Amino acid sequence: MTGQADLLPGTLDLLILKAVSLGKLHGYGVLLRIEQISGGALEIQQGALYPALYRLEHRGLIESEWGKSANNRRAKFYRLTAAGRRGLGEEEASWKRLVAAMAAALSATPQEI
Amino acid sequence: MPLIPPSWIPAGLAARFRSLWTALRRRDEIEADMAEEFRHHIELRTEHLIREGLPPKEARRRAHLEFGHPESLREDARASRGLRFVDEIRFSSLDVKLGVRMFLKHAGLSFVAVFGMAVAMAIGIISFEILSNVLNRSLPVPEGEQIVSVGYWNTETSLPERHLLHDYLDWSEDLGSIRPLAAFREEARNLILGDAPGEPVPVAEITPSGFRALGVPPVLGRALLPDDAAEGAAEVVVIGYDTWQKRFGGSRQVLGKVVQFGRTRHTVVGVMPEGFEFPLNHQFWVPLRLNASDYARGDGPGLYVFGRLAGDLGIEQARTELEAVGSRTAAAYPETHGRLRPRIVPYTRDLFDLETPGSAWFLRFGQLIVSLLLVVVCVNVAVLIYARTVARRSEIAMRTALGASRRRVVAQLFAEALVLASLAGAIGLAVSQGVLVRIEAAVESMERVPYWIDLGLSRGTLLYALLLTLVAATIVGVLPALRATGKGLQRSLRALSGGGGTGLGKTWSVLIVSQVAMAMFVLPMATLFAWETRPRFSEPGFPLEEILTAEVDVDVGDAAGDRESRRASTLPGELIRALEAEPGVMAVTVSSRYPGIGPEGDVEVQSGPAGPAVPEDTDALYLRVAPGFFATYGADLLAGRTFDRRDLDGPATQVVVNRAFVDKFLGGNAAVGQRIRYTRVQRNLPPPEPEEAWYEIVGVVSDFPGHPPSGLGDLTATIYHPLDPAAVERARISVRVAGGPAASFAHTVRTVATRVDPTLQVDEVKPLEAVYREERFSVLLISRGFAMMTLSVLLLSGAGIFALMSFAVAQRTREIGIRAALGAGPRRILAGIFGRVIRQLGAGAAVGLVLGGGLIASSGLETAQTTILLVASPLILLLTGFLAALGPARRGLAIQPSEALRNE
Repeated sequence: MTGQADLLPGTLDLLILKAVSLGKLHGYGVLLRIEQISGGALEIQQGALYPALYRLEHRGLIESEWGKSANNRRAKFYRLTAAGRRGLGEEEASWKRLVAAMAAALSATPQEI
Repeated sequence: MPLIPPSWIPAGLAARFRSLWTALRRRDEIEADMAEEFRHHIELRTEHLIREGLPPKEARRRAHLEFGHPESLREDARASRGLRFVDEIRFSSLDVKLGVRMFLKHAGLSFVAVFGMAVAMAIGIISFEILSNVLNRSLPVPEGEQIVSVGYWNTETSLPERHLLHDYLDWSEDLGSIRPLAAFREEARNLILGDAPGEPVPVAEITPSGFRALGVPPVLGRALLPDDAAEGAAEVVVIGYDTWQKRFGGSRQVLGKVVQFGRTRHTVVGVMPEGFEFPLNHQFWVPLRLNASDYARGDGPGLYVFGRLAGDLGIEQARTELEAVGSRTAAAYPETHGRLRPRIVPYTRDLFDLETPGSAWFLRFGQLIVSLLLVVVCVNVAVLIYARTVARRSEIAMRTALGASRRRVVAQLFAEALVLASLAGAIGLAVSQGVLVRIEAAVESMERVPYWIDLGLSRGTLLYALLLTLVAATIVGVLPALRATGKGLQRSLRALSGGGGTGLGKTWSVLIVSQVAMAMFVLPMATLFAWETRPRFSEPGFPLEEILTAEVDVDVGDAAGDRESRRASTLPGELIRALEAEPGVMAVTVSSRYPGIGPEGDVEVQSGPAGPAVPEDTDALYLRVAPGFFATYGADLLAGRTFDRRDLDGPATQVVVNRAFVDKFLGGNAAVGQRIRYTRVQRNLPPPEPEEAWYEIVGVVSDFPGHPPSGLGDLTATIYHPLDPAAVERARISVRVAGGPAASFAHTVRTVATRVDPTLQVDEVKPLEAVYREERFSVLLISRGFAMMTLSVLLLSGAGIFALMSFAVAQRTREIGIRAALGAGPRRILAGIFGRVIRQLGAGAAVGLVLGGGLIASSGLETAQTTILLVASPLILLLTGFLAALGPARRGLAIQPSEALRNE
């Protein structure tokens, strides 16, 4: 699909934390939310989603509980923990620094060196 | 139950820990949740695809395809939760079954491994249990760790100061950190109940505050009260539970009954509960009645002072307060208290002189060293197991090729080692229990064991045994497994496909050389020590079964005046005359110790024309004996004379010696008329009197007993001094009973003693045989323990050499067959194999000799003995190595060349 970007290694966890920070979601909801907030540019491999969710839960950055979905079916919802909120903030800041640095590096012109 | 990790663990780690714990506890539930979650996801995706226009069947197919294989996702999910690690290291009943099968398949190796580990574990368990009891800070009373001993340490004599009467009264007022404070002393009193003969029992004279300090109420009646200790109050006694049951039949009418100690009658007012035997192992408590005005400060009877730390105060705070009080007392009374240092220690530690934390840690360090013995043994066993593991490397390689992770293989090998270690642990526990029971019984028959000591397999000891088992299994299972699944595994995998490689190399040579070196280091010294400590028991030289012994004392009490004291000194003599008149008694004599047992001192002989060279060691046993002693024991007079009444008048400067003394100190020359003196006597025991005098030898008797009762060492040089039986207060009597057995006369001795005087205490009435058995006990225990250790080390070393050699040669079986096929003669092949064997064994023996030879050379052995040890040991090891190599070498020669070539 045009306009789509490949997911860099290590960024899935950050995206999941961001998606969940906007409101509690079940697994499929996380996929849709990431697609939504990236404007359709990022599509997650479904097979990678649940191991990532369980890894984040194991590290205590998100927590889960069973509830009822919009269509009244039993679903497991994930939300951010306090540690996850802190972790998200740190990772966001780190990512922004990286992006700024990359942008600066990639926009360098011969006159600047 | 939620698991809450301690706060000092970082939060991220805590979350992982909590998650893993939850996953382990609710595993099935989590698996079901995962399945439901995946199902929900696929349903939502299917609906999404249907809304986008896909037909339902196609939508479902696409949803499944996008999602991936659920089982593979579940595996990844488990790994995310940390469960993969747990799955890999977890072992199942199948692994245990395999372990049992390996145990039975290699029965010889298994036996050696289990035996070695069991001996090491038993030694560790026994010493741990004894140490736990010794280091126990707590009495078995409510909050028992708060009970402390209070006193002074005499810096001049390096002994505890016990004349504390005035200090006790001062501390009762001044010390706020120890309340209540109490004091006691103990006396051996002659208990007389009804018509039974007198029996010496320990009686605790204790202040009534002692019962309040301990906080244990009686089960019947009352404890002692302050009024009981008042001057002129009625004599009362509180008795122990065991006494109540055994001597009064557990009757509730015991209150008001009378118990007689010597000539004093006491009324029973209370019974203490079962298990209460404070201060040591007492069953009788009477009020302590002492008047401080009767004694000067620093004088008076010896007392023990104890108390309970007040509130939540710690021992350090009490020490600070006592030091302040002690300083004031030392300033006020410098002549008595100037050299005294205040001390407070947990009551249980006072007995074992464990005053400082350093001494306790020293003992714990000793325990660690004993535990390391197990590590040494396990490393040796691990070498054996390694040989077995490498022999299975094709099996391991196959499992790895089929997908088993390294962790999984190591876990299985750990399970197999756990079977061995568990069996060793169970045997070690059983042996320890038996030994501990025997030790406790033996010590109780010789010494008074504190009532809070209980040598059995306590919970702490069982946990320690479990820890030893796990450590053993880890060393024996994990280390060889890690080695076998390391780089060597690559070679094994290639070998599976026919890629060759024997798996041998420097490692094997190093292992063989190390094994031989260790055996070479241990074997000579172990043999020497076992030989030196072997108990040697021979005929005593007199009819042992006819001799009954007893210790005699007089229960005088503090109220004794001069008349009572004078009478007391004549009572032992009266007892002897009464016993001599009994039918069946051949002779009665008295001595300070029994033959062959006694204090030792260093002796020098006055130099003169017949004076010999000074012997290497100048020890001699010395005892004081009545004139009839030698006749009672049937000792032969070899020269001069024995003692008579003349020797009891004036200073006793005559001595009799035995033949061993003459041989040792006089070179077998004439002894009568020679003079000797002591250059050193044993501390705290009465020296010969007069001290530092020259003693003249007036007679020489035969050696009796024929050998030291302990079984250790050679014939003992002995010096006998004269003793007046009429002028001794505490002595050991020997009664020779015609025809024996001596034990049957024990009751008569007590009955006669009570008849002569109720204050005569006759204690430790037993045949001399039993006395000698007690002397031997500790020697036998150590000797047997050491022999077991030596045997296990030797077995392990021998088995190690055997296993390594067998394997090394077995690996070359194919090579042997090929060389035979290519025309090499058997002799040449064998020369090649054994040449390598000799080189490896020789290198190990050389290393071991260098390390152990120095020890043997400094052991003081004669040259001939040293040579025998140093030559025999390597020969034994060489023989073991050859035997090990022989079997596989012969098998190799028997292989058909065509078969060897085909496999290549």
